Amino acid sequence: MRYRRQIRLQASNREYFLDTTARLNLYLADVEKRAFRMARFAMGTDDQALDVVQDAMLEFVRRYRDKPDQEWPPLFFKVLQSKITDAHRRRSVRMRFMGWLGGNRQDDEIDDPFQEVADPREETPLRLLEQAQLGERLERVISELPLRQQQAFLLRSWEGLDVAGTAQAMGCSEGSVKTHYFRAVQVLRQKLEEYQP
Amino acid sequence: MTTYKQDDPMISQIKQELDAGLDQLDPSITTRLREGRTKAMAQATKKPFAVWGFLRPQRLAGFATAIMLLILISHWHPSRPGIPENRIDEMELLAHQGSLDMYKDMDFYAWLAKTDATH
Repeated sequence: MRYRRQIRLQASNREYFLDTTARLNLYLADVEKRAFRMARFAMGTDDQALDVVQDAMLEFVRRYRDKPDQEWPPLFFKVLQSKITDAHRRRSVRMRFMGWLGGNRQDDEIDDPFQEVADPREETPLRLLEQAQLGERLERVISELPLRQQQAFLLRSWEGLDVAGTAQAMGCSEGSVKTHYFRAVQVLRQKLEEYQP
Repeated sequence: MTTYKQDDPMISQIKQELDAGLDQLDPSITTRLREGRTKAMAQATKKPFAVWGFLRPQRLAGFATAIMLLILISHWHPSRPGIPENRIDEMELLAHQGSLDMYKDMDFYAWLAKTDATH
């Protein structure tokens, strides 16, 4: 992985004795942008995503800094996914409470993230044509995935965790990871059909 | 259930797009991420409470001074207001068994004692 490459690079420059703090800093520096993007997909806003990532880094350092380096990736993403899930729950409760009080929903708020159905909004062909860049389209499709599918896909495909590591990060069984991942890829394949090589 | 492999061309393309998106992050976001990391790392560099760390010379000196002050304060009794000397004399007179009339003729007795001494 990227982090391991950086460690090797440091080693080739004769910086053999990186202490735990330096290695931890290097790891977090490597992972922070991807963590932010994952949180951004899940949370929908930059501010919320930044809060989640910062909380995750603080808790990860506090709880797991003394763990062996090779255990850091699944542990960090376990903390991150836990923070994302907590933030989703808090938002769901707040939205329900606002609903009881008759408050208006904001446009950027998302429904209950635990529902296992994909966003039912269908894209019209015209709208699809308007989506010129794959990046923008991809971001939208990933954001619309149910949270667990989103987590499974990003951890497996982007972060490169194996099934066991993904299961550890998500706090579920390996079978569940496979199911979530399979469904996510199905949805992505379907919605990104026109961009497939 | 069909399984999707990690080297699936579509997945590779998605991964490339996601990686490319990292370089386009707003500088303000990368700054805030760095600040968050710095905050987390500050926590990592904090040393846990240790007895030897707590017993540093400056702290020990401070404790010793505080204890000395405490002892001094607890053993220091401010002097009670003294009784004036003339008051003591008066008290002796009052407490004496003899008649107070004798003291009225003190000058006479003093002359008598002087006269006896000369004779």
